[in-house]
Amino acid sequence: PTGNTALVLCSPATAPPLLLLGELSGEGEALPPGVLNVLAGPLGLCQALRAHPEVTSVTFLGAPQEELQALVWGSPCRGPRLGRPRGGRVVVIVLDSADLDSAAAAITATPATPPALGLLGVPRGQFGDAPAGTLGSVLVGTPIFPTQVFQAPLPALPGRGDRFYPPTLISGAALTLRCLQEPALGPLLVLLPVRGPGEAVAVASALPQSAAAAVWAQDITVALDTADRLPQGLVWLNALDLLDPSGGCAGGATDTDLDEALREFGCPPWEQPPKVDEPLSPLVTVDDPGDPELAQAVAAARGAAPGWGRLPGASRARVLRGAAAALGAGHGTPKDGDNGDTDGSLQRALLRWAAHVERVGGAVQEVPGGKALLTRRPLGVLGVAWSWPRPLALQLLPPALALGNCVVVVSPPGGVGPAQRLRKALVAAGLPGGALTVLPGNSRGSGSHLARQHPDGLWLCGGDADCDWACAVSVPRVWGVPAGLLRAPGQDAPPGAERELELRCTRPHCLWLPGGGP
Amino acid sequence: ELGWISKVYVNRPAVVRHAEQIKNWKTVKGNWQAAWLLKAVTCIDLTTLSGDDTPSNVQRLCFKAKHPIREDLLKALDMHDKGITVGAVCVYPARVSDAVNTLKAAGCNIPVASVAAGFPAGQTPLETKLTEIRLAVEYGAREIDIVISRSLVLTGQWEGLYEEIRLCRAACGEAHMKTILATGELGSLANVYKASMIAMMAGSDFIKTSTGKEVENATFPVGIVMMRAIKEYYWQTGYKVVGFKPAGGIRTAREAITWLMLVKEELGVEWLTPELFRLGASSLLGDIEQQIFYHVTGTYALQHELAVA
Repeated sequence: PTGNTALVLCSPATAPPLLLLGELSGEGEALPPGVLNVLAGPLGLCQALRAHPEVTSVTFLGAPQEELQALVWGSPCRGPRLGRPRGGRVVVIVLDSADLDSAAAAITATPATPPALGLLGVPRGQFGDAPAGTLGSVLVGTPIFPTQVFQAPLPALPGRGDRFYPPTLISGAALTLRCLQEPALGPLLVLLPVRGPGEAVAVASALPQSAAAAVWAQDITVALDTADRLPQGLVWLNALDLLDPSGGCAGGATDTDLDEALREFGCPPWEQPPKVDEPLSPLVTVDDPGDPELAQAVAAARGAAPGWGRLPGASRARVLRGAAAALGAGHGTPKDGDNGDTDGSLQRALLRWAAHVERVGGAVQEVPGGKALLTRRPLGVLGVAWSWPRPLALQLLPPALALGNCVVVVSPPGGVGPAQRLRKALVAAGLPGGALTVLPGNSRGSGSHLARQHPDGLWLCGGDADCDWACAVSVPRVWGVPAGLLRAPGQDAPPGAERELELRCTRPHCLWLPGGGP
Repeated sequence: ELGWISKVYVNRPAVVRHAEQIKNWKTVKGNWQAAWLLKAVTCIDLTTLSGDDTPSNVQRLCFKAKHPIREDLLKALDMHDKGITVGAVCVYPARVSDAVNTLKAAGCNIPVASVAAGFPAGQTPLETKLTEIRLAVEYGAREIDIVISRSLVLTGQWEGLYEEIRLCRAACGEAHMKTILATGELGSLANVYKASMIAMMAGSDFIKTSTGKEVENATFPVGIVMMRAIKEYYWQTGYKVVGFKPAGGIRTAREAITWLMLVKEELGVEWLTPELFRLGASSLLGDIEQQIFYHVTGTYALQHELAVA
């Protein structure tokens, strides 16, 4: 729907369904010819694909890590990164004040994507019985050992052998088991006992590839508290698999990250789509920030992040306003090639974002069956790698800070001066130490250096700052900031820029509260 | 011992959602539907509980109980020799002797169930309740449907409730006891669950959803909660199975089949017998007979073609 044409390269083994899709899309004039093309061939062809001048972005879907490494590890990371393994895993936390029967019924009633996890509060150890035929209720014997596997017998299919995976329940599992690390083959439910809500949150945060979570508890305070602390983007309370009002598909656990990533296939109106392999500009010879310095900066930011992120918007707004006032006051002599804030645009930006963050809240959507609270949460630690020849555009910083992130900026030394002034003003107004760090650095590859410190988000400004796939794979959100977003000082930001910045600084969080009539 | 009472949690929206799903289940068709309908017929407690019951209409009911479906329809289904009768006949205590005599004269062994203990409101003193039960047993009733005092549930007097049901059980003697929980008046699903467990602990053979005289009678959420209680009780004791009877508001054959399907899903096939499952209904039999007539002949019967209960 965004108007791109796609060329899909797949290995011959997996080709048939994709070829059929290509054929079907041409029939009946569903899509004009040439919009969807499917090419079956060895994956080495993708090098040629990347080198082709007309290809603007390359995305990897579902590629296992080893293959990715062989193909693209050293090359710049461009295009939406869907290649990260995406699991539709749902984490179900059942606490000791839960309605066990309803939880069991809901788990077994979810279609398609298996809820691959169930965590139990041990005090209510008895979950039920496991008759051979149904997965309707579940037995938890001793919490850790032995690991028991219950599999429902499948009805025999005439003449076709075993093509389906039987519903399987594994109890007494440990977190190191492979069934938790790899995507599930079929309906698989793994039970992990925990001792309390705190431990449940810790275990749930540590599980890979979980798209959504469900918390079952009748004690409302405990339930809301646990739901709030979970990192998953979609949390259901005493329910499972309800429709995600922000546009997910019904009946399956949605991955809100996917929605966000798909937005990258479109291009903001003020920008031309970038080419894949731009020629890189000559190297600027300045010393790198050494990895230790960067590590320290990121660690400091990480320490400051929870405190800063959880402050109410009004407190953060106050800090920003104080900084704006300080900047306006100390309008002194520019020094050392420092441009200064001659036209007050930075001040205005600070005030604007302060006002914004005081107003912005979440959205409440009411649907039959309950309410969904949609909020956006800060990413955490945001790394900004700046490599354009211009001095650092400070307009990037107010939104990130206002929305609760802690920022580490790496930029060529020309832009560091004004940034340090801003920082001083902010710290004087009450910003916690470590929330904003500006480091001078070599522009080439600064993105990679930052990415190696595992921030929660990474903004790459300029082609030279690009990081390669190897580093980018550990960062959840990488954004190549389009050059058109930041006009010269004095010009207004393009329409939609504010919303774009806001969306890039935060991640969505949806909490489902069922209640009311169906 | 009642320490578990405070740990009972029932999430109402989740149960209601589960019940809504049931309405989307595909139902059986054709021969299988006829079979399920006949199974439902054998589980019916044919009931007449009105103020204007007299020996004559009770007699008519008993004859209908002995021949619930027309002979030729049963012959067409090749089930005429399987002894298809209803599960029981349910009447007020004053009409028990008429029913017993009629059934004896007709030569069939269908048990007569009597409602007792201050049906339907249950707001009578305990002594009169126990006397009523004893007299009903004396008159020949083999099953007794007692009514609990809802006020004990609503005020949380669980020991009192246990004691009351235990005394009624003692008064029943050899007769089979069904405890009517009157779920429409119990306030919350958690109360329904707790009352079911107490009733089973005190010795009921069946738990029944409602008297049929309340505003809200047998609905699927309530049925689900009670069946979960039955399941839990069975697991905890390891041997004692208690039956389930939804009563009131079941008027169509389609609903009867849905109840049977729900019991099979929640409790298992073992519960689909008259010993462990009953449907309390009066006009349901007429509708089932209509559906069987349709299955056999392909058209619906006119009013005069099927015997009135």
